[in-house]
Amino acid sequence: MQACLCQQGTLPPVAIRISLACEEKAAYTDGTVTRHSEQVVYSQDIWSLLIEDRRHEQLNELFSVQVPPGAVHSFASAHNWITWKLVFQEELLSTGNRWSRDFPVVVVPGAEART
Amino acid sequence: MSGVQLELDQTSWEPGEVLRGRVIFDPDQARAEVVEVVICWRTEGKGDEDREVCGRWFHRPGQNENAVPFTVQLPMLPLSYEGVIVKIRWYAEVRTRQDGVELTGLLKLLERILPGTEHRVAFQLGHVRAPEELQE
Repeated sequence: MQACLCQQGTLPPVAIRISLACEEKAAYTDGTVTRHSEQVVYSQDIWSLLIEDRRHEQLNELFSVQVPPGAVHSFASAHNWITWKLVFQEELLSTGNRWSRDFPVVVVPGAEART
Repeated sequence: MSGVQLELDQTSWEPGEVLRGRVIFDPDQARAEVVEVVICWRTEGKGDEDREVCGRWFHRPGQNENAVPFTVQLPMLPLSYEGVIVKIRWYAEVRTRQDGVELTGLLKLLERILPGTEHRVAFQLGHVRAPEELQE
């Protein structure tokens, strides 16, 4: 599977990192309240880019995403979830400030065979 | 001791395959009028339990029957999974019922809370690796 990273406008010097993560989420009853628990059970860096000089043209980068063979598929029920996502992390080189954004991915059984 | 037991031909099945097994009756106990085999998945782990029945098989046992084969078509999803806080496990469950008893109102609710499973056998659907195996 291929993904495209697009970012418009001028880019200051940044380090970009993209990882593929699997997260388990559970909702459970604790007395009279419902609590939620989340745990990232798999995370793998899949692509990175270092922009050392200010960049004026739009960023358009293709990269491949590979789900590990035998990995669990996405799952959702009333109180339990298994979710996959691409995590985009960007670090401003001048200040060290970081931010990130998640992009959900739906993994179906046999997805590794189609990568 | 329960008067009815379950045996599966194998402990691991492929998605969409036909699950095969046997219901075995205790010869010393009276026959139920209806035997029901239920195929279901359950979540286990930190969250509240979710459960879904994905297949059923019914049978009226005869007086001389000691074992009856059954088959149930398995679904494609979800696959068995041994996660960290979420686990998906598949079970074949057997329970007996008296025929002709229509469950209504409170009895239906009671049956939902206490389904009266007499014997349960776990099996694996598919081959999903645990998270710690993916990191290796």
